[in-house]
Amino acid sequence: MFWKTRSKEDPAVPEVGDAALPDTLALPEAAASDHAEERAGAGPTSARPGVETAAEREVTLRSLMELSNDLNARMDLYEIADVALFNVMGHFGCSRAAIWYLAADGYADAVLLRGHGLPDRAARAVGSLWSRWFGTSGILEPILIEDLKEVGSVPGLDLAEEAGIALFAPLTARRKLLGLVALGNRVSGRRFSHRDLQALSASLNFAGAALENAAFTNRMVESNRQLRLANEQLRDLDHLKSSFLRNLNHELRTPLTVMSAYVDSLLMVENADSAQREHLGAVRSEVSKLEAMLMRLLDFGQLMSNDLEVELDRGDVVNLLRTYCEERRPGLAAGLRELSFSFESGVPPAMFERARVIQIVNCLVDNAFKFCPPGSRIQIRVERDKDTVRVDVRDNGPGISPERLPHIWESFRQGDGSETREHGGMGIGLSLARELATRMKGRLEVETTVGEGTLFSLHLPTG
Amino acid sequence: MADDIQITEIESGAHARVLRISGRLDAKNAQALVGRCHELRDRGTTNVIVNLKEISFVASSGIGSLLALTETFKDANGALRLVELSSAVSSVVEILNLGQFLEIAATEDEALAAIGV
Repeated sequence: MFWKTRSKEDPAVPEVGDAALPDTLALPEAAASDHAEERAGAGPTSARPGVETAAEREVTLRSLMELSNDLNARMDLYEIADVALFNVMGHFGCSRAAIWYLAADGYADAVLLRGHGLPDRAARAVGSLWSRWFGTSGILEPILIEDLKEVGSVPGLDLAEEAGIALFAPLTARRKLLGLVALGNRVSGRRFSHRDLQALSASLNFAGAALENAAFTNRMVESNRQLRLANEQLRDLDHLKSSFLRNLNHELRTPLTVMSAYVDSLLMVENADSAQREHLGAVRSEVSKLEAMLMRLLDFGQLMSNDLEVELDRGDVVNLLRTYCEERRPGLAAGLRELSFSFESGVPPAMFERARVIQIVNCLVDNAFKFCPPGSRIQIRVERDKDTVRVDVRDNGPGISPERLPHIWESFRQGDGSETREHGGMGIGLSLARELATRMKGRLEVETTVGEGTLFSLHLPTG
Repeated sequence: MADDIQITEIESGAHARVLRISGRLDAKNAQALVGRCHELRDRGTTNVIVNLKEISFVASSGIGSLLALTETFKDANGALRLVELSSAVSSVVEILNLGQFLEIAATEDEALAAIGV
């Protein structure tokens, strides 16, 4: 199931201009009533709406402790979003919630990390609007929609109510706005009290700190991975160079041999005059020089190892890619692309070379990262497909247009020139990836739908 | 791993499944349950019955996942039903007054009868 990525055709989000914001936000005073109700006391479960019992306070404390224990720096942004959102949903008894993150890389809109019970399109529009509102208002506390109605006209209230949202709460770290959380009404019908909002703030402080730490850690992990890849690519380029040299040697040697033979033959003709002999001699001399240069190139090329040979071995593709995904996930999450991995049970072993399969999948994932915007999803799945093990790399990005599709396999071409400049790289990845698949006696295929996404399938022969 | 939740799936008709889960419904295991339910939904199963008899502990995130899944299957024109709630689960459901929203049945048979299986 794909998540739809944002497209330019999405409905326009109401603009929040300075003039539309209230100068002050006079929220209803919190709860003298909260304290009065507490002093009144109650049993383990209270029949009086709004009264917080000792048991409920224990639930609050336990929720906070659980969240603090569950969040850790090894999680990526999506895992933190899952943990934080389910925690507050369970704590307050809400069946609808969403969490958005403000990317630091200049992508202007808040990215929807997770949504439950909210229509996807509404969730994206709401997140954009309200994160901007919190950003410009400077308010760093939770706000109830019903309280905002009393303030006056605030753009986007209708949108929030329509989406079933009861409150917005900013996600912060060190007083900096990182994102936004929305909660729906409590299924019990109970209102959010001032104490509830305080507890929510405390929870989201934990989550904000975890998100900030995770973003930093994920970027470090990704930097290390890219350094390692750069080294591997340098080694592969070296191999390619030697192959090029050997091919060049072979292609030039044959015509040079032919030229030598004919010139030698002409020089043996007895009645050639001295001018002709002189010219032929000059040609023979230059041909000899070229032959000598080729010999040196051949010697140089032979020092390098062979480039695209593969060594097939029987192995478990599922375990290989599971480990691969664990390594890639943090870096992709830092770039707000979510990577998921799944597999069919009972996938048989396949014949492949581990490093080459990783190279191919890396190429496909890198392409998905380049061409899909933040908030996109990349899914890797391993299944049996007749006499092959199939690795699917699927994204919900813009897809490939029919005009570009026939050219994606060409070396040094990445669609039109504008994309090459925008996305970087030289576009040789798919060409090499397909060649490697063929050399492993497999194949690499693509299916794509504009506006919905792209699926690359790598087939490897079963062992 | 010892702390991982155990999920046993039982087919009950074309569009219904029973999931018997045991262990602790904490943050990590809540993710596993949600993932499994989403797979079922994506494969066309619109009615899921979750048997909570063997759940020894439920965290806030566990409750949150059950609420989210209830909403998810409603949106899919089906339902998530909870049966045989252990005391750990029923006490939290009672404290948070979730009984009106969650679809709760006493037994698997009762839940299956409600969907006509």
